[in-house]
Amino acid sequence: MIARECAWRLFAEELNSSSLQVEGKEREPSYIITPLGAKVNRILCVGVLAEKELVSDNLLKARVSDPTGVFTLYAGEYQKQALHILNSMSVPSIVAVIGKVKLLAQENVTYISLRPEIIKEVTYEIRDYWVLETCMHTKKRLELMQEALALSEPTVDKLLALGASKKLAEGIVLALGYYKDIEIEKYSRCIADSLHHIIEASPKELAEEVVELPPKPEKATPSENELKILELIKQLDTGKGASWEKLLDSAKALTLNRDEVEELVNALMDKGLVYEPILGRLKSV
Amino acid sequence: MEEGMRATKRLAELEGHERNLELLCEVVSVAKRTVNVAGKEKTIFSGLLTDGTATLQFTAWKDFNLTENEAIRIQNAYTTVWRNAVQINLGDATLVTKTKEAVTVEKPEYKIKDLTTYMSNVCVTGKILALKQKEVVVKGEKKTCFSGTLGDETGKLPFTAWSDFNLKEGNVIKITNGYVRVAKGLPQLNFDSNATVEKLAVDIEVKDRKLELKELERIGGFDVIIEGFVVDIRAGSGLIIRCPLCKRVIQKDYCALHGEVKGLKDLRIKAVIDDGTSTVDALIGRNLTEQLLGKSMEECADELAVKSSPEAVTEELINKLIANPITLKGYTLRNERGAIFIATNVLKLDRNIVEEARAMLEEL
Repeated sequence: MIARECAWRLFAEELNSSSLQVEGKEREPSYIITPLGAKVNRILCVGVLAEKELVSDNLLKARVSDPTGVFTLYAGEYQKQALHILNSMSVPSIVAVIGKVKLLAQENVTYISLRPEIIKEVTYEIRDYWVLETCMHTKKRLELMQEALALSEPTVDKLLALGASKKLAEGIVLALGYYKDIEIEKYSRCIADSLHHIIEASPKELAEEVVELPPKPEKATPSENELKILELIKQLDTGKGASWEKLLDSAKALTLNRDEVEELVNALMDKGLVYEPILGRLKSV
Repeated sequence: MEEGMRATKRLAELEGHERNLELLCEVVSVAKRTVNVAGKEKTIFSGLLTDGTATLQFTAWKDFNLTENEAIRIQNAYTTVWRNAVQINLGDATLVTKTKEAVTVEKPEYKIKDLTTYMSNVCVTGKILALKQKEVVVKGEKKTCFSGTLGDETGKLPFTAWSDFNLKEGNVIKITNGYVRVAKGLPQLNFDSNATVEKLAVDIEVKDRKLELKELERIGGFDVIIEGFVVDIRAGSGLIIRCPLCKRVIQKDYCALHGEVKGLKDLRIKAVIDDGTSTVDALIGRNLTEQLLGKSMEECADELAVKSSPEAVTEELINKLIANPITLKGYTLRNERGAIFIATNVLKLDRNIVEEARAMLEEL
């Protein structure tokens, strides 16, 4: 009997940074090898369903964002049930997705698609639960990868002895042979940012914040500068939302400094004209 | 052998890639096994060795005449890693000599979580959580034994006492010279007239053990807690009909074995749980399923009669459970088709995620 593929917990950033796929021998499936050595066929992720579009009659594309990035889902005729459920879901909502990942190449660009087997609307609490769990699993991979980097000749056996599972040990060895630069720092930051995300978004604190907020202005008409920023955000948005860094750059032309831009963006957010689909990205409504 | 070339190593120091290894240790247990090596049957011996610093699995690829509780000096052995653990190998080039040398370190007292495989001469302390007197027939002879559950702060374990030690539920006992055997994939502690049982005048805290599914897969679990996402609800979940004679699941009051029967209703869930380290098939029986659904089996049956959709209960279960975390208490049952987890309790997800996130952030 073939054992069921376990669903890895990983953040979009780690998955989307992957560009190595190994084809399975005989009846084995294919696996994506992430820079931290996860050998992934199936994942479980929870995030915000931020966008969905019908690509063709039988193919729905959707984006689910976590604190680090975006998972891109494709549900087609072989994922009928998921397609059906996805169709009926509203944007935005919190969803859990269990599905298989595939590395696709198009004109020298690789990207990862997630074919959902199961998609389900869940609560904020479950999202936080998943984020924490994924932080823990990512940290474990990160630590093992650091130990592997310190070994003169990392082998599957040595990594097993260090406590890695068989798949992770194999994945780390493959990742070390393929990825030239494994950005340990970047993934530490993903973990820290995500933990902050849980703490700051906790419902209790949200409730406290709401109490402290001054009453909203009656009229939500944006000021002149706000309109300029809104226009910039629209221009810079190529699908994923406008990046914060680019917005700051472009705002220099309007002689607006960082603090001013920040204030204007906050004002736009308060008025419900702009939202942050993922950290560091802005989108107009 | 050249003097001074190799020092005797302690078991706790071994990393899994040693060659020309010299050890002084004691055989904790040894069992004969037949394995298939390149199409040929081969007899090997496996068991545990200890020197007080650690207890490790060994495989002897030929017969070294090993006996339990005997001190031996091993020369020219090698180590490998098997299932995350260092294993000692005794091969053709290995020399084993029985020795009168003392294996210097005292034998460790085990915690219950460490009793996972065939072991002998085991010393362990625990609290008797359940106890039952049983009459059994061993080799044609009637015997009275006492079976129950022993617990400490690391977990719980079933035990059988083969003589009357006047045990009572709630007793905290220290067993010296017990032994561990594995039945249906689960370790069990045994002790007989060769053992000493000391009743301690203290109370100890017994905790349920929480296991990652990777661990559960490896060692099984007896009264343990698991936690993970429900990633699949298998066919055959929901309201089912069983043959009253053989209890097999049947369709439309007709049993392939017993013909026309009056079927018995039952309610159950077969769920796949995934915690990111591995997966397990969990069986959730009628009472727990009723608890999860918030209604009784009879209510389900009545609803089905109205809706006339046989899948309605299954769909409700999927809707309630799928892609949600669940915490279960229960035990592993192994059979020829693999292992399943039989749930005995559904627990509330009792965690403060924000607090855990804060604690983890501080550690970074």
